[in-house]
Amino acid sequence: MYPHERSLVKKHSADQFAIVGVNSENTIEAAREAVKKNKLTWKNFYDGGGANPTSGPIATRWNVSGWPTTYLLDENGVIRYKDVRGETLDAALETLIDQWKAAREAEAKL
Amino acid sequence: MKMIATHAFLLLKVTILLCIAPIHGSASTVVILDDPAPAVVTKAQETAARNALDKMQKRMDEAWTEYLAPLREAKTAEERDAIELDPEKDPGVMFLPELFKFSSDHPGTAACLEALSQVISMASRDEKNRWMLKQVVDRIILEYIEHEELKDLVRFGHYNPPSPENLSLLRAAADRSPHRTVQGSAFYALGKLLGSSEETRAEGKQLLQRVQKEYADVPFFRETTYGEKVAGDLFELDHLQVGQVAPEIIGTGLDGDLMQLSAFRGKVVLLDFWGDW
Repeated sequence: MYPHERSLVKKHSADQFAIVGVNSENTIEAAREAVKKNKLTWKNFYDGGGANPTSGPIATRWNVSGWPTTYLLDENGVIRYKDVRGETLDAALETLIDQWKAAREAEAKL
Repeated sequence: MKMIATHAFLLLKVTILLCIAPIHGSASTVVILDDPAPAVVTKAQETAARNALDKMQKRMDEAWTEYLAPLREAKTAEERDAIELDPEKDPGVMFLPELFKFSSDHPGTAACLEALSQVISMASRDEKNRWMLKQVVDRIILEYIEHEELKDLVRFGHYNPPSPENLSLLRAAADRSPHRTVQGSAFYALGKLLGSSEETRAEGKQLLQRVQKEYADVPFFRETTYGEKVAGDLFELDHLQVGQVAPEIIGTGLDGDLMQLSAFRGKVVLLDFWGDW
């Protein structure tokens, strides 16, 4: 997953796109270490639950039961895709970026 | 050749079962020629089945260890992602015929139910062996519908795809089991499966609400009860569906800073729940 995510960030560096992580490591130090090790350049919430790291408050509220779980949100914060991976993720992201661009063009014409 | 022989044997066995089923189920039957599941399983039969299954399980564990070795040996995430395991050699698929035969050889035992449970989860994922599903589900309904151990099978039923076979097994367990633990687990798994697709979402939600009302005290897993579990699922159905505005997240970033999901409005966002375990 990390290499794919890094490539998406690179590919869409000129677009309004961001990855936001929610990390469930045992400790915040371990989470920072994991970010460094995997060369992640994006922002992350820390959501570790201590002895039982997967029971952090954010993952619990979002009812996450498998890791990784992903949501793709559009510019209005609306959930548009859940758990899409690989080429499906690439295409979904492409769709949302295109919609973002179309919305800007429509605004410019007003 | 070995595979063909095994299949022929299984088909024969299953044909016999299917012939017996209607006779067995009829109230006016005077003579029962054979019983697919002896009403009383002796302790010796149970022990023999358990030992045989343990042995097979050990071989399966070894096969999994060997199959997944390349993933374990990969040093980086990149290396791991590049590895493609041969689906033909997946131990789950390789052991299916043996598990299926085992269940026919040890009818009525708790070990047989465990084997049937494994057949369901593996055959659900493997197109070539889908034909086993219906037969296995029919057998479980015929032989095990009153067993309390059925809970262990239906408890994670929502991890299998919502095939007609899987749904009919869960419905039968929910409606016909005399045990609250089985009923609650089956309603929950059914609610989760139906809730996951748009056409059946309303029914799925109803079933989960029923679990909340009637089965909240039934233990789910480790320390949790279905009451605790289902609260999160109902929140997901109501607020985390495609088309809904993502709930706000306010929390601490890894640099100790305050972070807010809504601060990313205006951008397309990939929200990723992850852990580097």
